[in-house]
Amino acid sequence: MECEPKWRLYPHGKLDCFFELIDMKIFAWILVLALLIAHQDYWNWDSDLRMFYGLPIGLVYHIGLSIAAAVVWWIVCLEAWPKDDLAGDAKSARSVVDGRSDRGDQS
Amino acid sequence: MIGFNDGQTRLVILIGYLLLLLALGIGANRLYRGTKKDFMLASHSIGPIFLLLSMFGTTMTAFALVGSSAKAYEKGIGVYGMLASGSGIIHSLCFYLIGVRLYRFGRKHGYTTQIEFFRDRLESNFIGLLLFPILVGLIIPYLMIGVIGGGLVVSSATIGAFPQWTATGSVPVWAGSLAICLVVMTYVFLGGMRGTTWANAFQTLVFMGLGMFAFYKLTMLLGDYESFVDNFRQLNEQIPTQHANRSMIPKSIFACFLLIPMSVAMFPHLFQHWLTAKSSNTFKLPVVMHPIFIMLVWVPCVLIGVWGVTHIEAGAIKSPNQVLPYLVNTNIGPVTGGLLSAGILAAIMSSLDSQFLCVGSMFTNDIVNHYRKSEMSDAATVWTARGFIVAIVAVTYGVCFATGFASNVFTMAIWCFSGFTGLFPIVVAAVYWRRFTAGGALAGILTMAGSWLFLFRESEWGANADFAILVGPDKVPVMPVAVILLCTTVATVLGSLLTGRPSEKTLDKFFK
Repeated sequence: MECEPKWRLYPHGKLDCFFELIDMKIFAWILVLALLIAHQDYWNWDSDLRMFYGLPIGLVYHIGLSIAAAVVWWIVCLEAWPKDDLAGDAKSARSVVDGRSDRGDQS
Repeated sequence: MIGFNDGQTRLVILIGYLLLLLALGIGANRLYRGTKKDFMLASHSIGPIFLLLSMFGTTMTAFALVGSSAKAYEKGIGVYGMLASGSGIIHSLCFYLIGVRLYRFGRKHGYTTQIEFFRDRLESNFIGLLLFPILVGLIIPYLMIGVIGGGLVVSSATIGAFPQWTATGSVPVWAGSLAICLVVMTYVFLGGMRGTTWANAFQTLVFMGLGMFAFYKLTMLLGDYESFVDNFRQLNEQIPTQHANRSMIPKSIFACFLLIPMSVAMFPHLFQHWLTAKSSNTFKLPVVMHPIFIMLVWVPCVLIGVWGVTHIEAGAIKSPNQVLPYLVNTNIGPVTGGLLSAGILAAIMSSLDSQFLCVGSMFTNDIVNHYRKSEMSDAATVWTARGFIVAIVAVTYGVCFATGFASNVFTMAIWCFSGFTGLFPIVVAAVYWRRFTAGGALAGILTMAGSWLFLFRESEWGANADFAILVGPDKVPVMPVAVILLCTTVATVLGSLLTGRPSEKTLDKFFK
């Protein structure tokens, strides 16, 4: 299947097309779910193995998870950001600032 | 500093910092446009960097600096996973799932407070009346945490400043708390949301920067080598085995702590910050960078906490909360100590200001303006909000004074956050579930309040700090927040299904 990859992760590789062909919204949510599961790392529980610069593995793992979270949220922002359903934020802002819509339409 | 003892030097630095904040409030006041939207929402003018800094500053309290090192000193490195990395995931999830959507509803329909949204979405004034005391009731202890914490920081930073006046020679806690209240009140009063956002952004940079500076200095002073990397490695290798793993934290409690950060979705002060954004795209930077900011603040503090196990002699400190101040005061000079104390105050005040402004806005919008026959002018609304801000500062300070400025800050915070997390199903249903009704909200809110009160009483009103519900034959400990959330979810769903659908007009307004 032909595609125009948006991200050149692998030069001339077919993996680039992977990101074009799958539903990125679903993919992003799978990644978020994976983060939540990965947070419960019971396998590191009793290990006091020291890694980089003597840091305990339990800490290194969760530092990695924080960085992974930022990457996942970056993918979500790129690929699964909700479409703007407002007529235009600026227009809406003007009407609100002008006081034309200062109260909710409370019935 | 020439002519000053160590305590007085730290006090001078703290006074200088508080004066800087006042100047910031005066500066924000010069840009004030005179409208209520400008006072309460900064006219939706806040860009991504300021939104990131102000939201981060609002969600981080003194606990991020002092409590994190204290808990790590007690429980080991697992505290980072339990309280920080999970928050990085969940906070961003709430900003993305709830924040962006509420922002759009707020901009489209002109809301200022959370209660306005719920009243409109659920076609019920009663829900607004019910939510108001519950939200204010949950925010007051949160405010007290800040006011008491601020007083304690000033008091401990100024030990020995005036030996002729008090036993420890420090500024009394009541005076420190009063100074913090007056400074925050003044810049919120003058600058409104713009002043609050500027102050939050500035204070976030201050506590992040000074936290990292203190970490660098401590690493160099506690280690035996010349280079930072060698000292860092040496100090990490000295962490005792039981503090280098998570054997002191029950797995079920670790899992339950993932629910606590969900509370941000229902923070009324965060709702107001969300509405300051220029556009929904402004949220992208905070969503991505929030986990990294949490990491930058928490990792150094957790490491200082576990290093303290080796470097603090037994009996040298009375409470784990003294780990960070003790290491700083015994190893670093008074100037750095004063700066770090200013950083801790920054973390405290960056939450307090938003909460004061939010409670003032809620009183003005949801009670006074909503129930008046004719709406007040913008000028009258802003002055009413300012009046309520002064009143809520006075009430909070009065309650702290009456209780003798005594509280277990961590336990109080967890109970407070548990209540907000209990309301999470309400806000999720309101923005995503068409079938959600006022009946469902009523059932959910009452169930949250009932289960929270019952469990709080069972914990002897918070006196039992390790209170947990034991589940199953193995008596697995579960935090109250999990039970409250489960009960509220069930009640919200059942209540909605058993009552009539919302009107088509309302559904069109929010879901079309």
